[in-house]
Amino acid sequence: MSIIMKKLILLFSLVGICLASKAQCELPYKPLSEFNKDTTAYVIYNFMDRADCYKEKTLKEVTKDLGIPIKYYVRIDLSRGTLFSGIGIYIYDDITVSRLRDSNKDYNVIDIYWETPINVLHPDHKRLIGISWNKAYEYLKDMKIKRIEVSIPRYSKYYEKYKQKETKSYDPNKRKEGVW
Amino acid sequence: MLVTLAVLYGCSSDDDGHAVAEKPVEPLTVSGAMDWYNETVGMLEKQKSTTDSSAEVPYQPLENLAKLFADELWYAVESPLDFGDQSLMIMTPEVSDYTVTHGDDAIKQTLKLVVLRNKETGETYSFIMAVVPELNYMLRKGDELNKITYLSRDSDFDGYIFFFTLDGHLINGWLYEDGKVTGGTNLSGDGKRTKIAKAMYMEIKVCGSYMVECGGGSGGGVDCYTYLEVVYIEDGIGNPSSGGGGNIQYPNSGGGTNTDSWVPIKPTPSDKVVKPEVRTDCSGSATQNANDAQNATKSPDVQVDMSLLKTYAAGKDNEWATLIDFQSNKYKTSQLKEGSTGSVKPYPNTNTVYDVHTHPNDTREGYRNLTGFSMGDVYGALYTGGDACYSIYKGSIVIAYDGSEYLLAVNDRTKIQKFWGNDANKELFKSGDNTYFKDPKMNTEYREIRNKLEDKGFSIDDANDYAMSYLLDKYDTGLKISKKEDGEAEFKEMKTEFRNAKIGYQPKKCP
Repeated sequence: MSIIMKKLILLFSLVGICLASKAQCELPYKPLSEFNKDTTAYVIYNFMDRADCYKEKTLKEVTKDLGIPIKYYVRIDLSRGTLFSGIGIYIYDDITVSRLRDSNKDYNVIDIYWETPINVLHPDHKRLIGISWNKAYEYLKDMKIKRIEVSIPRYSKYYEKYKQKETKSYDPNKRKEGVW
Repeated sequence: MLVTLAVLYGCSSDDDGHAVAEKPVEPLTVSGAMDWYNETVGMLEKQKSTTDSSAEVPYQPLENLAKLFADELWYAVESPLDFGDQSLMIMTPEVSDYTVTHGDDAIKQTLKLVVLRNKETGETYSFIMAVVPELNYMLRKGDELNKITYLSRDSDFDGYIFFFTLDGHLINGWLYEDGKVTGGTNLSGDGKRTKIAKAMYMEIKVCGSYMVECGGGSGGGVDCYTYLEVVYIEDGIGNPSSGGGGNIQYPNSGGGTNTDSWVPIKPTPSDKVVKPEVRTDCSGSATQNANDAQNATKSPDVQVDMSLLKTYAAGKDNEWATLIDFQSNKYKTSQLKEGSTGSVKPYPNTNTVYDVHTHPNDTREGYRNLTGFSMGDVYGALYTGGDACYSIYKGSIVIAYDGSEYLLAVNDRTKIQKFWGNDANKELFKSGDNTYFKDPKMNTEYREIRNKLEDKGFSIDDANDYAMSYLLDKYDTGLKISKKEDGEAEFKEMKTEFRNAKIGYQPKKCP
């Protein structure tokens, strides 16, 4: 193979990579009104299909786009409980979430993982324990996002779509963070 | 300020002066001292008329590092202070000059909470004690400053000991030279100046991290500010011959405080760890499971390896494992096996009764791993316990780095085999790639229970253990979690009840 050919292949590869990375956030944002009151479809489209649009954005930007008040949130700590890695935000309160889950209905949770996780022993994490969403939001709104995920339970009609996405993004070499 | 003083110094359990019958003074404990501190902080909060100042550095005592001291007259609980990502330093001018070339890391001092109780009267006080060494002493014995306690000073200490109210007002201070009090502070510099031997400047330096937004981006760093406080040292008032020099001087015995805060500190309640309720239903299988595990782990051929694994859990970076097999009518361990920092795989055989592995701590300084069972551990126990081939398997044991031990016992073999016989159930307890559990429903349920328990004040370890315990019962797996704290003789079975939406989850443990 000539040097020119090699350079061309390299060039095409670079162009391909650039296009691919750009294509990750091509889907436009759609308001809830376009989903015929199906909140789950709205959440899946905007925050699962368009998850890449929120990379390196902040929590404030996600909640602004969500446009539905958040009623409840949970802290997520991975890596053997050492790192405050993100939060799950819900548009229902905790009692409603439990009821929906126990009756096999969608409960619409968006998991947001931070670009820079925090040691759970750090005051920035400890101050979140036992406080309401509104107060937590004030502390967390400017946190940079590494990725967001929408978690769909197995019984949901949307699960197959979720599973495909999960399979597609599965990296066997990725460290199993929840395992120890 | 007077109200504050009344709270700080007038609050006493037995000092109303009208007692008819003398109650015995309750000995002070670390836990009792933290309760006292938290109550005082609560009262301070209620009395505070001004709004919070962002310039104040919040702190909380570290209960797990607190120590109890006593002499003939006093109980004293002393606790280091956690200032979060901020720091506060008090320096003599010489030490301050020294930091110019050697940096702040060279500064040695101690700031601690002291809760003091009089053994005769029961009077109880809480205050902050600062040990500020002179440069020579700091360079010579700076690493031993924590040996200077309220009840015991180093015999050749050179420097200052200051006492502050919990919110940073100077109560009094003492100059030490070669272990002896040679002067005391005159708080205002007022009074007969002839007594004042010297005026000293103390440098107070406060550092904290900050975030800034600039041009659409943001960044952080450490910012510090310093200010000077003058200390007037008087001869005589601190002289031991005048009585009791060197200790805190209470207002009713002639002391006072500066009207302004000397150090910008703000007390916040210490993290009181909530404990599970005591169960009353622990006969039968709970006791049987604990006894079985006890018999196996204490048997002659096993206990040596169990002790070894305990030292490995505390001191080695990787996980280690063994199997406890039952052969020729006795328990034996297999060869110890080393895994990675995150896992080890002991493969059981048909003679295996227990698999045992360690949970070491995180190797990074300042980080702390969960001690209890992981999702992978639970899945492994379900896998083995649910398989009829392993008919004498009784469970999995974890030895954690903090000395605690866990038992995941096969409590009901029929249940576990039934559970494992259903393929859908097998998916439930699989661990996830970037989540706790792979199953989305299980994953959200687990973390919600954990968060709720942490929000109630349970430790992160308890929250994990009791969330797991709840799920094992909810899905009728036939597995039960027990824990033996360091120093305890028996495993104690854990259980989590869901009371109602208002009360939520209630952890309980066998006595």
